[in-house]
Amino acid sequence: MRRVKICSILIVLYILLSIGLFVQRQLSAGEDHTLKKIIQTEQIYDEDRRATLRAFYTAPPVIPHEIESEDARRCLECHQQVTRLDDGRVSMQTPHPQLTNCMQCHVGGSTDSFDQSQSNWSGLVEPDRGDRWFTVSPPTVPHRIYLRENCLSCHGPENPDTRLRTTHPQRTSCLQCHVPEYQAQF
Amino acid sequence: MAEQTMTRREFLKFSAKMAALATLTVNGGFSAMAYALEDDDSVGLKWHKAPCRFCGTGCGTLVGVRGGRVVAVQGDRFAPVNKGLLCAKGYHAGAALYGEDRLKHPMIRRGGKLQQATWEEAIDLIATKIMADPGKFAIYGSGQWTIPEGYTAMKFLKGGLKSNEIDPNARLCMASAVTGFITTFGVDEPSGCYDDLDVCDTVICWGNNWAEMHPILYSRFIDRKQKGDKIQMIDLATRQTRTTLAADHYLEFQPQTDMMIANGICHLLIKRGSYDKKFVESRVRFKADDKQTITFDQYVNFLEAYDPATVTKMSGISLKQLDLLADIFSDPNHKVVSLWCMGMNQHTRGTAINNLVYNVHLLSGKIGKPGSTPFSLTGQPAACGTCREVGTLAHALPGGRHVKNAEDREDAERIWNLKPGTINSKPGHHTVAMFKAFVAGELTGMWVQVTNPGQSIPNLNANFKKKNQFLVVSDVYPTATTQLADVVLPSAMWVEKNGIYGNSERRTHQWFKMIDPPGEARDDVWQMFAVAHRMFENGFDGMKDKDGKFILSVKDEKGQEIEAWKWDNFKSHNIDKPLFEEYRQFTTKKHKDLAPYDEYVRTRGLRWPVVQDKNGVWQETRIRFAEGEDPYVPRGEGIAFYMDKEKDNRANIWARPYEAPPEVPDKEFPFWLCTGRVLEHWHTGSMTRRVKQLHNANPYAYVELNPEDAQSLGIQDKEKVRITSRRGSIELPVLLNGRSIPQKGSIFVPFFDESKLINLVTLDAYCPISKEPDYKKCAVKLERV
Repeated sequence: MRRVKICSILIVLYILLSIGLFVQRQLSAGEDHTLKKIIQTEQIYDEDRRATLRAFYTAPPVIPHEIESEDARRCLECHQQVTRLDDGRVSMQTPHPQLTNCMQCHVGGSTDSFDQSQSNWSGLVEPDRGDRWFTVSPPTVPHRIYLRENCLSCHGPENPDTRLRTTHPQRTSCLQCHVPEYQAQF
Repeated sequence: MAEQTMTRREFLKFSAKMAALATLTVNGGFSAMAYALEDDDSVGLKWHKAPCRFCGTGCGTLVGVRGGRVVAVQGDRFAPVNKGLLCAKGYHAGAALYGEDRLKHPMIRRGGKLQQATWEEAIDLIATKIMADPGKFAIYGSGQWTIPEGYTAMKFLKGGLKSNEIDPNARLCMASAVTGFITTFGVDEPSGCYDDLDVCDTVICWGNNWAEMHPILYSRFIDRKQKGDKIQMIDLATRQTRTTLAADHYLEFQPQTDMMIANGICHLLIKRGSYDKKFVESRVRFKADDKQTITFDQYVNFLEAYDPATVTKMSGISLKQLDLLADIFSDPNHKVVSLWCMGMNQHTRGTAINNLVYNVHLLSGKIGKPGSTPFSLTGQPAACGTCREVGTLAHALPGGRHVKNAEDREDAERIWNLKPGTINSKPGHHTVAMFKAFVAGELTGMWVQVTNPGQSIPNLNANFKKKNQFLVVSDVYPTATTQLADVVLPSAMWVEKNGIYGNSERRTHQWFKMIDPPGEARDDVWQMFAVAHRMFENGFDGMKDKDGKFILSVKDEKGQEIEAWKWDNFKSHNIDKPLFEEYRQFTTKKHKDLAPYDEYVRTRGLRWPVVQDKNGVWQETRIRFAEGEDPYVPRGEGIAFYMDKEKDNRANIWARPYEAPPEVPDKEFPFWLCTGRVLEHWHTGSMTRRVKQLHNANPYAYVELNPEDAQSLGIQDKEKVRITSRRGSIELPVLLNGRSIPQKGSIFVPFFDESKLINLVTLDAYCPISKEPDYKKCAVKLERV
């Protein structure tokens, strides 16, 4: 009898747990619907993509996923902070959250209907790392700071492009050691 | 692309250059950098200033040039318009120069086909054709013409051909704003400026999706919310757009009833007694629709018909929403900017609705004060600078002059050194009439520059075709227009030439040539010089001034003839400077004074009137008609509309009644069709569709429907439908819940796609005063295909 009791309890618990898991999955499926759809249309990050998202070095990158909303506030749901997605990809943090009309500069690029042979454009390419006085001295900043005031949004430890990561994110006063090659106002 | 890679050493040099540039600019000097145009690979990347080539906002860009090519574009932090920011079009403006199919050689149609020809052949042919029938030869130009280009075209046609058959595409864009300004204030162009957006409390968008069309100004305003400013945006529109998403209030009205709403606000201001009585007494006059001056009481009587019940019933906005508008204008301390662009201008009562919005601001005294102004946005980079100020219009002469006015004609004849009586006093055809006359053969030839009427003229089936008429097209890419051309001339574009533009806020700004145009492409100014000189050589009298010299003669600083009709001479001189200095003489009469060319070299543009102060410094004007801002306002006057034609410093409030549009949806054609632009593409897409990033973002045209309409018609997203009007039809895929959601009973189609010409469907009815057609309203039906 005791065994039967234990079994029934276990069965009940199992059923309850299953229902709970099912409900939870359903709920999260609803919430994550948008996110999942984006993930499906997205490829996993590789280093060369950084350049392919831009017409030239310093150009605003295009949006590499489908745009679910015309409302820029929705962009910030993922891009206000570094956000890890289910598949391990990282949604980068915007370095300029004060600018709220995201799609003014970042346009969708999810369709590829452009025939590359129809253009002779070849834009500025990414420069080497910033200059160093000697091997271990801090490198200079090889780009203008304007619109990129938050260094950690690109150089933070979460950036999947390991080339850009700082080795010492705990030191937050970046420009104390890394001086810009551009004049500050540029 | 190894040659495009910057080496470490070059990069450092470039950085040093940037530092030098910054220092120069801080010290107020730009010329040294801007003049350094030699292309030396070892020097590396160089940055030069240029206004953006696209819309009327007039953003400052820094163009990165290396190895004779544009390789990057960034926002210019010293440009007061955009303060370092650009939109997607601006950042990618450089790539627009490098489409594979850039026109590189002149072409002449032989045996039905366009075949490569020499410049000599092309110029000979054009000169011969014009000389055969000079009075019936038209020039159709553009708000993307630089000031010297428009000025040369004017002199070529009005001086050389003694005709007035010249009109720009700005007729399709800004004409209603011009006639609105002139009828209300006696002079064209906004009195306010972009600075007003930085200090106003409320922006009202009158049918204006500035989030996409003027994104830099939109974010200049809306980003103030991030700083904690208490501001609001009211979107008064016929469809929900990106602007609506950030708006605090969305007021959806029936097409054309903007006229009811504007009169309805005035009705309430007067009923409440909350209008600015002192301002109205001293600065305003009332006019009936027939131009007769009327009394205030007569105006009040006219407004009786626009009671809130009628206005809300007709327009579809609620009483609460109408009250909201009236409240804003009733509060004397509330700072309001009204913005509009094509929604009000492309309107069969375009002049009237412009007047009506001025009425609201004049009655409430919300004009001429920082943060309070009615502000008409322009679409093209020099719609103001070239079309409106140079005046490349069928009735105009440079500097706000009119061909009908004998004194104005004499001025032009004097400055151009022409025999008295040369300039024709009969205005030519306005754009729609010009194309109708061309189709009918009343005009036998036409030269199109910097625009694409084969895609942008309304009702293309009726208005863009030809038999034996002679069509010359100067452009940078093959377009719907070059398809019909007899001669195609390859042009230099943007930073491949020197240029001067004038933006929406009266800002004139210049740039220098940075790279050579591709192949045999040459400047539009040179093309006109060459044809005019060929006519001169062939003995055509019109191309001679009164001393028998070439009419388009240009002299260098020492007074030596440059002989700029020879390409080598043209290339080795800055022709813009002497042309601008000559044009500048025209600008003082209407107090649109411009500074000498070098002042524009030094600065990121200046807003006219630019007048020298007592220290000899050229000072720009932020707010026109306002004492202390505008040097032409006498001391003690406060606000003075000093261009008032009745010389009483007053502006006109017009009693303009509501009138129904000429074509409204009915049983057979039950939907309104509205057409327009999108953020990524410039007008007919001939440049932006050749840029990968912009093309991919918005590759093809579509039709947007209200989801409820789609449901009742059983139409799904992405399904193809046929759109048919009384004039033509096209098939397009449906976009539901996309970038915009039209109100029930209306659809929206963008016009950038060359393969889907929505202008086969549109109506060519126009405002009786401005002659600007209405691309925003006609009746269509939808069928699934």
